[in-house]
Amino acid sequence: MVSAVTFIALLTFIFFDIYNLIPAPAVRYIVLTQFIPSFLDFFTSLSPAFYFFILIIILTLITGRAYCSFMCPLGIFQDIVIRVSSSLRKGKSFAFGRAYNFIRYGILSATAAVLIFTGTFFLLWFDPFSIYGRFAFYIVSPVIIKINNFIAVTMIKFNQYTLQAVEIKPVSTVPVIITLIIILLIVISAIFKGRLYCNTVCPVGALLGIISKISFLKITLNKDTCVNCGKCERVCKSSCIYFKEGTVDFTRCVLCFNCLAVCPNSSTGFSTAFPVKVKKDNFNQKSTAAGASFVSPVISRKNFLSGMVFLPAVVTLPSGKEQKLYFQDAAKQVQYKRKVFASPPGSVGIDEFNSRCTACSLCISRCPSTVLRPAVFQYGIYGMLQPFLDFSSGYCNYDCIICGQVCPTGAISKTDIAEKHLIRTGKSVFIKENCITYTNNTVCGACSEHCPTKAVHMIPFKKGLVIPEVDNSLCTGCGACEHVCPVRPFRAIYVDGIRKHDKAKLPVKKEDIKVETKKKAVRKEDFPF
Amino acid sequence: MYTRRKFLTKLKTFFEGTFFTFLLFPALAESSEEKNDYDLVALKGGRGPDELFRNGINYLGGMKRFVKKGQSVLIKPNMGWDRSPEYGANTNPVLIEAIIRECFNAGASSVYVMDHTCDSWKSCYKNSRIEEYSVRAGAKVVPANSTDYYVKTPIPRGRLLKEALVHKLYMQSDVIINVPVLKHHSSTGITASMKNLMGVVWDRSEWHRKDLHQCIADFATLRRPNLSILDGWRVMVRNGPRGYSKSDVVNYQYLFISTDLVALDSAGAAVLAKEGAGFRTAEDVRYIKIAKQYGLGRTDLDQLKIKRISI
Repeated sequence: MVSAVTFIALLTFIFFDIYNLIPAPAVRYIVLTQFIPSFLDFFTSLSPAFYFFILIIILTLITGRAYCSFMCPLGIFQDIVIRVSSSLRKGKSFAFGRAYNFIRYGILSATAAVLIFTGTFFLLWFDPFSIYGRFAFYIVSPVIIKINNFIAVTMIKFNQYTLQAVEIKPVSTVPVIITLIIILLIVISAIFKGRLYCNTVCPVGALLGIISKISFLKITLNKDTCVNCGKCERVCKSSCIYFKEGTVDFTRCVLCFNCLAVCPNSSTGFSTAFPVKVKKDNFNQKSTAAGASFVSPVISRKNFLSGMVFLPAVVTLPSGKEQKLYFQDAAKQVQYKRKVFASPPGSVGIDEFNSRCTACSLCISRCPSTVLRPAVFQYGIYGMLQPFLDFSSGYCNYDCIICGQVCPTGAISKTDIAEKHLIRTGKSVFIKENCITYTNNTVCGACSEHCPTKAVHMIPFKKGLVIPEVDNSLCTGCGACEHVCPVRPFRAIYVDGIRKHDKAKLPVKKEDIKVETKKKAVRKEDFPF
Repeated sequence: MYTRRKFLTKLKTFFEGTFFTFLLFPALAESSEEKNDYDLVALKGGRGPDELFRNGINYLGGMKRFVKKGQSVLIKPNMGWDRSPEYGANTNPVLIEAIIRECFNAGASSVYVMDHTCDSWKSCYKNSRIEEYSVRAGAKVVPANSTDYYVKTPIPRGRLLKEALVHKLYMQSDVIINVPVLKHHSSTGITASMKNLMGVVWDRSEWHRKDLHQCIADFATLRRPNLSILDGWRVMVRNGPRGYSKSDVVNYQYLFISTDLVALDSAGAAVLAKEGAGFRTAEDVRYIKIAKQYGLGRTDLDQLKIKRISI
């Protein structure tokens, strides 16, 4: 129970950690305790990391699917939903149901096949961590941030600045709706059918289910002492106990131990598959490699209340706050059609990225400059919900490598700052006809101001005026120029992504200017005036 | 228990305190002598900008002239860029710390530090190291990243910029201390005191869209900072205002202090003009010229009473 609460608390918290209490590399390791992320990380990065999924498999070989109840955030979330709903509707119970093995193993094999041949397309939709991550980021975090902002704004009125008002990251409507639909389906299925999702859809559940067939410890029914009260079947969230036959479908059991708690005479047991019985008291003290301790399966009032946090999760969609004040005439402007939307730096290329990312949205939640946003159709159907660089909401900070540090699957590879400076994700296109300096004859230069490599620099234009010029050999595609360009409705500078990232040149450093220092006497020539 | 030993220790600290007060007293007495009628104090050299500041402020009458007991102070540094101090893109944190300490010595009730950054604000606050130094000196570092911190303020004397969302603290604080850093700027030529005030408004792109020079001068008419301190310790002479490498920075070791924004900008312009920033005199920079026409300050440095100090 402790481990379940810890896991869900940590894994939710990292999505709205607005005060950056957990540093980015630590976030990655928290997420790497999850099966799919650590599995993908093993194959994509091949760097020394810790391969938690092997531990999970070993754990499953010993005890069965303890992961599903004690570590998987989506599983724990469903347990909370089940607990809340059953306490609201007394007398409601589960019953044995048959396994939908066709769907279950169908999805598993399809996921595996897609993973081998194209990429993470199926995992994006079925991986429990990614589903939970999107839920935590798109639905829970705005609520938390709103509460935080409300308190912060109230405190600002009294000149207290300890809490910070934080802008809610702009996310377009479609990903929020998709996430909401998925999570609602899971909530409904959890209320009526218990762990139906985990035992029919979830590929991790299916895989661990197969492994648990040969696990050392299993839930057993002792026919000799059983009084046929049927309580165990009614409390089984996975609908896997069929007490009339005395069978337990252990591939579906998520080790919630509800059956053990309700059995009047300890006829249900958690023991080796061999006839030798393990006494109930023994495993109570037993703890596993993952630190999951099987204590009491009863959810306490405190945990129930912590589950209530999710109830007010009503999303108010962020409205587009584009400014209305335009000095430009749209009819006179040149419209630019972006060809490619860029993928985050470190992702090697768009195709590679699409095949590796499971769209858990962790990088989006941690991106300090809000440039990462979930794609709708920017990458096409294959990359839905995966992050892309949206320069209308931010630009990629030249010295920031956080997305690579947090990415748990290795879709955005870890880089150091020097490496990142060389990665080019796009190229800038300057449209002179739209530029303020060209149309209004006033200076602006916001693009060049923000350009970290001076790929966009100013050259003389008319008398007393300077106008931007682009040197694409230096451009990294960070999008700062596009983001700050004040011209609307069409900007004067755009950054177009490139499908396969290449290398940008480093600007040539000029020689240092030496200035003689340390003058003792006051001299007029020390100052130019 | 109040032992004899404790009493003696207290007595010792008391005498030490008295001794040091008297040791410092001549210096304090000297600083108050007819020193406060300079228009601008220009300093160079020394161990750091903090030393320059502590020296220079005495020639303007000491910090007590600007900060009275119980007043709240807003210090507005330039920390707009996610760069470490040695790149010269942000105000020197050492200087900020020294100013905060002087404010508290003068009796300030609270000191706030804020800037509406260009890069993401948390990285800027952290990597400029201004947050760290300010908190150490006891100031409150206030975010400026959300419209919740801003109030709509009319600018009556503005010609083009008639209204702006201005940070609450800029309008509410009793004392404003503007602490810009002297830098080259790709579009206006120079960024210093007046341009630094752009960091207390919410919508910067509006200025760029309308007419940057005019808006900078317009906003300067809203509220004149009580004191401006121009950090010229490290001067970015090209690729401004962000800079690319450390080679863009010249270690000039300057510090200019004045109550006149325009005079400070003119002094800064005189430094940058030598480095080929694209203008020859201060009045070649349009916003300085407009501000002068508005009567916000003077550009004729040879007519001003300037105290020049080299350490």
